[in-house]
Amino acid sequence: MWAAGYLLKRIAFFFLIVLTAATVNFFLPRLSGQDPIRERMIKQVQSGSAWGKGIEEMVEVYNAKFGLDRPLWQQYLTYLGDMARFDLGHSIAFYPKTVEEILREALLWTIGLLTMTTLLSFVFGTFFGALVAWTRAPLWLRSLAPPIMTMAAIPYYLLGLILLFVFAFELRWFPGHGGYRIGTIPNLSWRFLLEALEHSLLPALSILLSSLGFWAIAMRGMMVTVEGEDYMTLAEAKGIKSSRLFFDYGLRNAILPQITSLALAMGYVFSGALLVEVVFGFPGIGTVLFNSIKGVDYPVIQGIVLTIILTLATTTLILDLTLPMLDPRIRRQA
Amino acid sequence: MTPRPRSNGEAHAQSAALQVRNLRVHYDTPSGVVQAVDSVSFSLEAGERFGLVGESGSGKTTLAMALLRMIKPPGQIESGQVWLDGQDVLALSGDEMRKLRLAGIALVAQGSMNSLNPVTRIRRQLLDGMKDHAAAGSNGTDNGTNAAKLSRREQEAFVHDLLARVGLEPQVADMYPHELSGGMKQRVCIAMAISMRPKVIIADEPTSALDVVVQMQIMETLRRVQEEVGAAVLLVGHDMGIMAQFVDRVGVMYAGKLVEVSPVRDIFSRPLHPYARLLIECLPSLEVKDTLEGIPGLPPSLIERPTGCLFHPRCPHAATECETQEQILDEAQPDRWVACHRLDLIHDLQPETGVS
Repeated sequence: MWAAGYLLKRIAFFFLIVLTAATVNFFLPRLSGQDPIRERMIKQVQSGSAWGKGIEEMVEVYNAKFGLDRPLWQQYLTYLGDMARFDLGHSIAFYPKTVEEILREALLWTIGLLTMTTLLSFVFGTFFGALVAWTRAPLWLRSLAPPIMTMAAIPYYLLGLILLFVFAFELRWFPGHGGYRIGTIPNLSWRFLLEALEHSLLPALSILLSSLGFWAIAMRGMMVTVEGEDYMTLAEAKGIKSSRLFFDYGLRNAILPQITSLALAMGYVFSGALLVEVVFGFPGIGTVLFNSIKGVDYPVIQGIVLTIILTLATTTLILDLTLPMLDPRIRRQA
Repeated sequence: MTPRPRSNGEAHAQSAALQVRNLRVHYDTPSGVVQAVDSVSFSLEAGERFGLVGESGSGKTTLAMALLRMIKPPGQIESGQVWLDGQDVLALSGDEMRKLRLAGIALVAQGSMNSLNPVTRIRRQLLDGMKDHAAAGSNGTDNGTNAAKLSRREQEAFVHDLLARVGLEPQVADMYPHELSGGMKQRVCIAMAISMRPKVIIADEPTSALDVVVQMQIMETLRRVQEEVGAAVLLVGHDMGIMAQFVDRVGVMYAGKLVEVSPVRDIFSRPLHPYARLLIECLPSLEVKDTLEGIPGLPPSLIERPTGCLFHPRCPHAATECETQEQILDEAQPDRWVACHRLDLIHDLQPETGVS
């Protein structure tokens, strides 16, 4: 039976990926050679919020508190232990806020924004791409291809800037910044949800419009290839209905690589659309990551990257487990 | 058993399973119009096995696809008539044509290795064509099984029966194409082709990807099921050996035209058209040891075609009239149709005393 051995292999692979990535995640920020606590202190002195005297002592105390004074290998082991318990520690920049708190707030925004846009653009883009390649599709639909393909060539942050300029600045239809109005306290009410939706529309649109074309282009290419396959000819010679030919024979075969891409794209949902979030000041993971890199906030960077790694590895695992169901040929190689 | 064909079919429109008259197909390419099929006429009696031979690019496959009305742009059926069991195929609407496929005229395709949908089970692929013919009946599907109305158990029995007819185990129904050998895949394709008991099966080089042993098995299977369901077979290919063993009559195509249509025995023992003769002479012989020779020259470009008889640049008997005048298929002897100006001179046909 293929299932048991295959399953074990995939799960072992999952842990290997996570461990490797977590290790890189630990060492990479430390290679920058920056001293986050000293820099933060110096900044505070410069802005006048701390005295110059006793700085060295304070740096030492904080370094001890964050465990930054110990040898690197000890820090690494502690880090691995913490990670295994999902204990991400405290933010340096927003001490005493824990990384977990920061992530939880930001993740909700990002997941909301990106799950919706990723799924929507996958569904519409894939379907559209398939129809564009389908010689039996109506002409008006197929003539929509060039504009959507063009849209895919525009980087989404640039598209975001254009949308921002047109709809927020000139027309003033939508708010141009943040996830909710200044002064609103986030809570679970219809009013707040509507407000959040209103703020998410432009960033969502910029991601949707640009990624739609990406899905469509990939799907169109696959569909064209599939349409040239012998089984399509034979299926047509079997007098099969056009709809069955499209779904059962065409789409069903052409979509396989798309599923792989979707799983990978879903993994990136947690990393946020960094540039779009920064452009729109959207309070998601992208903005947090951007700020914590600027502030050399190791724990937060590590926390975010670890989240990304975990989700990517998980989606890959899910993909590995579901693809054999969609494509019987994979089962054999397992 | 199969009725001996008596003519090229002009007078047999009623009894013929398939009747093709002056069919022309061309491809509109940027470099010019390619006349892939040029005024082809022939007919198949019910249950007859007819072979269509010719070099690559002679228009065999285009002709086969045209009969199914599956010529894709830039290709186009220009003119002509195709009658299937008394039905004017070229006059049918798109949906009527779709329903005629499989039910009236079925295909066993060339690339047997990739002819099956890789992601669905054989059972589903054996049944889905029929399911889409559910409301048929008006166009020659009275004897076709209507899978949509079958119960699950009946469907299962039906699939097993189909598989058994082509010599496959019932378990094959649960398999995917990649789990089958090339020969098994082609058997599945044959099972599909007979599933609605069509009047005509087009077999387009059905054994091209298989080794000789499997080739023979497949041809035997095809012959058996064809006789069982009483379908006529149009076998397209260039393997003269397979033709000799399988078909009743052979049509030789050259540059989109039929140059000779003759009973298979006659064409092997005494090919009449110079091209057919050269083609037969190309076959290696077991008795005579000799260097293998081809036909000198190349097939003509179908865009800039020679004038007159298309074969005249390569023909050893060509005369001036061959360069200027086209020749149509003519009954040179009983049952033997040849398009050649110089036939009498080449063969001295008049005192013919029966061809063995």
